[in-house]
Amino acid sequence: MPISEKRLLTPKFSHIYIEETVLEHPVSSSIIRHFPDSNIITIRHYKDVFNRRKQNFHLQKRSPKLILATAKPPFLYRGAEVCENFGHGSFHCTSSILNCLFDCEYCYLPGRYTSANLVIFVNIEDILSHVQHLLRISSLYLCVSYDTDLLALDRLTSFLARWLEFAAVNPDLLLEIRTKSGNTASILTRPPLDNCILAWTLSPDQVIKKYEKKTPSLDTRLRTISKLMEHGWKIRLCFDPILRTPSWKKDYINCIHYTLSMLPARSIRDVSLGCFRMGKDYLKRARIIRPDSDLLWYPFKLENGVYTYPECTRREMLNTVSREISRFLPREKIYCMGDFT
Amino acid sequence: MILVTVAMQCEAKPFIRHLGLKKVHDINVFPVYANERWKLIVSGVGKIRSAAAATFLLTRDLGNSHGFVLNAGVCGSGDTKTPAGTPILINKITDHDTGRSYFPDMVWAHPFAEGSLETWSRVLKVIGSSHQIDHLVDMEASGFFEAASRFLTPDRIAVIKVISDHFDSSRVTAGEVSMLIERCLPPVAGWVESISGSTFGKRPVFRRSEEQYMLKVSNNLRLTCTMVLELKSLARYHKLSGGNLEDLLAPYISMEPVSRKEGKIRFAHIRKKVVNP
Ligand code: SF4
Repeated sequence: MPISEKRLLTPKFSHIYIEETVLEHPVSSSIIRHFPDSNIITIRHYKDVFNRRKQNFHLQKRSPKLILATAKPPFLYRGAEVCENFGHGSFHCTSSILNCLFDCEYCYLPGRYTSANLVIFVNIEDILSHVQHLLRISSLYLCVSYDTDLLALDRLTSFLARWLEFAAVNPDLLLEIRTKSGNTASILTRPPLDNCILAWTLSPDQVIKKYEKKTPSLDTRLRTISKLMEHGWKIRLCFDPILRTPSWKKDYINCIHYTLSMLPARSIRDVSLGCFRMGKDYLKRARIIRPDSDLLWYPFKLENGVYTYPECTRREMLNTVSREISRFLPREKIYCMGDFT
Repeated sequence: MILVTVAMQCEAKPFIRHLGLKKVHDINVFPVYANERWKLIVSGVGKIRSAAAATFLLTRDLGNSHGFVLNAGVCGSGDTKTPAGTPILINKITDHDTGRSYFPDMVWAHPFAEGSLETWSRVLKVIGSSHQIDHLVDMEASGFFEAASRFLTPDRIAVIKVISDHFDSSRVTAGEVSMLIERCLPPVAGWVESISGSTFGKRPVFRRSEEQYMLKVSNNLRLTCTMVLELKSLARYHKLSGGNLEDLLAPYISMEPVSRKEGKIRFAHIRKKVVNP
């Protein structure tokens, strides 16, 4: 953003909207302490601000505000069809934060929410006790970083530590935390957990620079992963979404070589692959918000309500990428969303 | 265009003077004053009048989404520490009757104090023990905001109120109201001017000539409405990914219009060229 434009805007989190009922909540107080200069505005319900009609997502993304709220049941929802479930029947997601600090052009969040402001549901204890209750009935595969990047916001919320503590005493829970962040502070202070999958999304630097704005570089992500591997964690790598850029083949092959020659194979839990895909309505809205995105305006094919590359294109991309990965890792470690031969 | 709504003539006067606005004589529903960039309407007191005036102006004059609308005027304040004459940028408006709150987007940097405002349907004179009002009170903002947010995104709507009294409005004369607003007008007008023109890098993807090109091709190939939309979408992708739109469409520009069947075949060629360049 040009400096002159930046000067016109209030800084990130200059205003914190907070539901009256969580004014005294310890997580609220701790978050507010990070922003002594912010204006605090009390609200009755987070949707009064978050769900206003006709919001300018584009502008809000440049000057996002925080909304502190109470999560209400249902706290969990079934994983979407477009997400890999790694063969687990009971695959669920939960969102203790809506929206993200990063700005990936392929993200579905602008299609899902009308606002770019961040909602943090401070009553994490209610979500945890609900999960505890469900675990009495059956085991659970739970993704806790789907509508956000939990790690990127962990300095503010410390939610990750809560989830890790919880997973440590609940072996029937399989937790997945997907991220692009370089922030590992709360992970490195505790021993690795078998039932917690830390998953890093990796992309070629060319893709990161053009389409994953505000995210750490590939090197930063790899350094972070290495640090955790040294600490004993087995990490899931996600090349997802793979994007069809003009130089995609060269870029992804280089990126895979670079990544897998740097990270020890024994510390890689598995690799997940998937081509770009987005629900029909989400893509429609995302395109309105980004009328100048060559990525989103690609002439995708609509298949079962999901826009993605044509089947032969997808197969070519996934086969190319998985072939390269299989030079370093056994095939059983490669999970693939969709077509793959 | 910057649109302004005020409730009373004494609130309008400083704007008219400061901005050099002229009366618009062909409008007689509300008093309206304008120059090339600003248009001001005097709604009358009360939230319904304010909503009606905002709707009137926004329906007539909102030519593009870069429009900006401001509700300005005076308000009462329960906070005696903030002196009369202080301009406040409102970050929350609550309608006293319905309890509903409205939130302008606070994305623009500004030099003003901020506050929350409650819109009442009657003049609030004395605060009895049952009323705990430590913020600002007016009679228009909730109606104004409800109406304006039908037309514009909440970052294009602002409410700035100048404190005129501390719930003792009977003592404030029309002349004093004008004077209080007059003093705040340079920073208020300057601020609105600076943000109202900002588009934040959102420039149209197509040039006018390219739009015309697409229209001509659509006509020559007798495309259906759905195909026209697809053509625009393909053209957008082609251009955004570095292709030359005029080169792509040139073969279909100077041709005679073809039959629908032939048009469909040629359209398929365009699609193929874009998808597999
Ligand atoms: S990191 Fe994930 S959630 Fe955040 S913007 Fe990127 S894709 Fe969206």
